[in-house]
Amino acid sequence: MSRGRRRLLADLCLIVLLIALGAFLLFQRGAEGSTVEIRVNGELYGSYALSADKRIDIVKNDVLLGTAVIEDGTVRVENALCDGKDCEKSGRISEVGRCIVCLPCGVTVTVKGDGGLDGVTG
Amino acid sequence: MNRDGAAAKTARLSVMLVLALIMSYVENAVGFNVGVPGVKIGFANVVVLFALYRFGVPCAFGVNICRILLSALLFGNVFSLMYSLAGGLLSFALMVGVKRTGWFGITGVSVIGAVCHNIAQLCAAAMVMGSGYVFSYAPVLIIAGTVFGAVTGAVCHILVKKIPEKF
Repeated sequence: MSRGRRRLLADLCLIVLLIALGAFLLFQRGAEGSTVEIRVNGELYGSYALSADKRIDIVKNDVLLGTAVIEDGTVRVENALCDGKDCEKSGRISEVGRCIVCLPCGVTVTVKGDGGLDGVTG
Repeated sequence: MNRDGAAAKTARLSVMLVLALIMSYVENAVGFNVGVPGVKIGFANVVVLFALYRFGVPCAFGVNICRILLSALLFGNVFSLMYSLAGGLLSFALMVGVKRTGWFGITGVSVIGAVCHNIAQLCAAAMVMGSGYVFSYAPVLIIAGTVFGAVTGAVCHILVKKIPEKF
């Protein structure tokens, strides 16, 4: 086999392997969470039960960074301050370890389980 | 006309840098957005890879670092600079290492670069946020990096083949 052929094969193997790894991690479903933890720049902003519907305005220095909406055991972000709106597009989350991140605002909304080690699930 | 001298090389590398900057600009302007932070096509990597294969490590490194600094200055901010630096430097280092082994073609090198770029940005985000939970984005970013890295790598492969040594 020529060197080019072998490299092409190696490239293809690498691509298939990485996609398989990503897909495997992606489809590992975590357990449904019980609480939502909101952090601003790593600092704990508040912890809320996922079972009760609630709207939480995330305010820092009198600026509304966004609103976390807890609804039917899921949480999503609305009214984000940032331009990209990636956090809004992240949609609803409910599994332990899932999180919505807004890089420009420094906000993370994380679903946590009932104590113990949550681990980082895909 | 002298096409081999230092001046000619400088001119070629400048063209590379400008091309990489345009690619960064196009990337920002197109605003390809799928709702996961960090997913992008990585047009600029085509140019950096091309420089790596044509001009060697030091020149490609120069093009890469200048592109990152200038594009942050032109289109970004301090935050985007930090993420770009983390992604750009780690992926470059790994691409150089993988290229040295000779196991993979340009596409493979590009895929590894793209995936490492995304992982490095995740690590940077984890440090900024002070929480490891951003890693829940890792699967999507691995897949996206692989797919787009393969595309840009294939494009670069064609370019390295088709563009004559002295363009």
